[in-house]
Amino acid sequence: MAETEPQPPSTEASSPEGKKLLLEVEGLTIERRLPDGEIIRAPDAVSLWVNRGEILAIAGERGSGKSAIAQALAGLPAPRSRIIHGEVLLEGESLLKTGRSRLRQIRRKRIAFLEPDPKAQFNPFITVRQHLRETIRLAERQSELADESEWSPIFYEVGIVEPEKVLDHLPDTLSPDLALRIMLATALFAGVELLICNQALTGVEPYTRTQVMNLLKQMRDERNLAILLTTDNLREIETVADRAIVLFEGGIAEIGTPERILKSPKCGYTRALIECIPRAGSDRARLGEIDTDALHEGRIAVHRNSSQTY
Amino acid sequence: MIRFLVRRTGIAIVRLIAMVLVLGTLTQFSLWLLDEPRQVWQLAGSFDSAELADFSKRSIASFRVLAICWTTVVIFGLMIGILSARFRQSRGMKLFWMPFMVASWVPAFWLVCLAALWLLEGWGHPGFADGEAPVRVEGLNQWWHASLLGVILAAGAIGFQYRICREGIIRRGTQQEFIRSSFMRGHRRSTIFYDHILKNSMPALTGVIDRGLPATLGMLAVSEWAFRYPGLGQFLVEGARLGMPEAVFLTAVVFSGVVILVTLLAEWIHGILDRRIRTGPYPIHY
Amino acid sequence: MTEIPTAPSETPAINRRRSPFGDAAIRVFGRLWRRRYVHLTALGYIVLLVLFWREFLSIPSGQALSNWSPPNETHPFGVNALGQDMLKLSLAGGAKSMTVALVGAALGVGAGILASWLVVISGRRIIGFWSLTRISHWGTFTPAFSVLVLIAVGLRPGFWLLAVLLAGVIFIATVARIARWFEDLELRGDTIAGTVLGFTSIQVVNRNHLPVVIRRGIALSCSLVPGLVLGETALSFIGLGLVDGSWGKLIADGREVVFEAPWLLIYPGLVASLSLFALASLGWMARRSMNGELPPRVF
Repeated sequence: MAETEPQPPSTEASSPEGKKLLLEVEGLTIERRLPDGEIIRAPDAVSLWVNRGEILAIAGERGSGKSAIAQALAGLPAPRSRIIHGEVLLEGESLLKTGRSRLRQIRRKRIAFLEPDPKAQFNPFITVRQHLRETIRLAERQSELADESEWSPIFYEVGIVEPEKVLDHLPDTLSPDLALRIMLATALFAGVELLICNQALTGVEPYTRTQVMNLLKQMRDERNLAILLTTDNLREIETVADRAIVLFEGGIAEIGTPERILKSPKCGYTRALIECIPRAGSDRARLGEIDTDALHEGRIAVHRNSSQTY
Repeated sequence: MIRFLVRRTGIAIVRLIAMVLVLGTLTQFSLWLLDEPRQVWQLAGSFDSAELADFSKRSIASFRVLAICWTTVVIFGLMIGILSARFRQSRGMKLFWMPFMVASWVPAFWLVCLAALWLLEGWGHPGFADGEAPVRVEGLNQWWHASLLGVILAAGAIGFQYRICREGIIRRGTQQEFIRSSFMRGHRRSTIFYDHILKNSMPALTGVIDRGLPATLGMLAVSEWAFRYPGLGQFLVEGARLGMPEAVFLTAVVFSGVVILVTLLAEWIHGILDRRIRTGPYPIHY
Repeated sequence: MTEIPTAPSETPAINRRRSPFGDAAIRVFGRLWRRRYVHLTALGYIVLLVLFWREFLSIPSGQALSNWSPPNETHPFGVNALGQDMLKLSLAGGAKSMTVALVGAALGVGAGILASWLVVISGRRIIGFWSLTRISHWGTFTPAFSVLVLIAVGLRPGFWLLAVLLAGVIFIATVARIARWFEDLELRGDTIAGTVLGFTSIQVVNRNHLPVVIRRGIALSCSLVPGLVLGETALSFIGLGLVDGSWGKLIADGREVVFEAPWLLIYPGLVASLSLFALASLGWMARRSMNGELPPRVF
């Protein structure tokens, strides 16, 4: 089994596909206190990596720890949660141990973060132009993007055809889809290397979601971006991901290429999860449900994967 | 923008007229209860010219107190409110606002009496204004008298004002979603607070500078009477004690005029500062 | 190495049967503990009433033909010119002020709840919430104390009239907030669920919304009491409130002889300030525990 599992490439030497390791997570464990006082551990000793020019998708149910991973990667764990163990390395540099100012530099220039409800991510009192100018100033790219005529290629890339109509708007007047595109444009303005989409496609309408997924693939190919996508939708994995991880109760239930996971799942839990997707042409009246056996099998798979070192 | 300002001014005038009508009705009701033959619309007959001149001098004296008090309240209330919102997580900040919090629940007129007692003990100066103060207004109408009242009233009002400011900042700023994404984009903590949150909540903060004024005016009236300060408040209380509703009516009209004026000012500043009022609505862009 | 989790062999704790009495006791105490500050406030008022009901009923009798005397062992707060003990007088004054304030706050908030409820169950056809909101809006720039004085000049109110006047102030100040509670509750899921299940809107309001509003109203009136005590003290200080032995009257009497007998001014004022601050703290905590947990702090 160990031969079939993918192995992380080294940082220095490029692998045969020309991909270099960008982000590495080792044994990340986060505790979160629920409002009723219960403490849950999700993720629990999760290790993963993301290469340049690759889209890694993390799928799982709600509460399985995917958002916690994404937020910890940006160095800002959710309120009431605590990183108790683990290491996050961006090209060998620890994000959890680094100082505040260095972390700010990394966030300004190298990492972009997309959250659900893109409209709420803007300051409601400044226009889109001010927002973008601020981004350029923070990323210190004034020399490249000082003139607004140099902005249009990026806008065309994210699918905004008439940027001059958008720039003077306050965020209240944007549609959610447009706000998502502007957030993507913000990432490109900053010239980031790693894009973390924390369920950014969840509330988006299906047509735009397809477009944005194509856009992500295009960005991966043209700009050699590393993209980490968390989702609760296995369809997104199928469409966009190069590699995928299925999380279960804070641990990795399955890891592999999306085709492999969806065609021949090894774990009973993944199989049950796939049964839950409604399929066109299916003659079954009911969707599948995740029973006790699947849960048990999921726990065993998580245990096996957590004791394995990559 | 201009339309907004003009409309608010018109509304303020309507409010003032309505307030005069309501207060006049209440005064007439009181006169009727007291079996007085006078009518409220024969107000000029109730006061002779010397009393009216005295009234204007009293107004100046009271406005002097209000100027000291309300400037202090706005500046200190804003300052402490902003600082306590910025350093919300630090427990040491309590030391800054706790005294004002306590002062806001101490009866101001009692504090004024204590201050008068203290003045006598410390300086050998009789703390209270003279009993014949209204007759000799010129000699007593001094800033140190006004500042004694103003500072004591302000100490209580700051306790309320700072709370309103703090809640306004926290509700409109720190609990919003975009703060988190600003952290993710690599802003400094102080930049986020002062450049984003504070700027955003500034219109709201100017909108509350009139919030504690009515209560402060009530306390002003009682404290002036306690201190025998020759101001409007003493006029009101003496009028009430002597059973002259017209005096109360006249003072209440001036007080509501002050409150409505400050409210209008707050609305104007709010309209000028708030970008969404200034630029008007946009159509939703899809 | 973590252990491979196995299927549980014994019945888990959550499925074990508890005794119905223990269950009910846990539920009741849990609820009491979660709303502890509200209950503490209520308990505080009850304790005050039990301790000082004598003082509330009767003003302490003095010894005839005696002069005032400064604080000593038998009278820690001193004795006034009528020979009455200042400690007992202060407590009696506090009981009077607090009772009138409590009744006023309860009446005012109750009237606000009643008005909003009537607007809701009449289907907002006769008058809407906007008129209640307008009332409160006018209240924000009315100098309430001057208006109270203006009314009190002619009426010379006693206990109940003063309580009703204070209740009017509270009604004007809070009715918009209470109407907004009803308005917010209408958007909750259980409203839609109740409507779908076939309850009339009046039934939904009475069963689901009214208890919530009444609970919040209790907390709100707790937090309004200290302000009303302050207002009542100010009124009786100038001689228009409860003139027989309220805090304000004591302070006003002490003011007349402040240089000769300062203890007549200082001690009643000290009692008033400390009690007001204690009441205010309890009121904030009651409101905070009623409003539920705040969202997590980013700052």
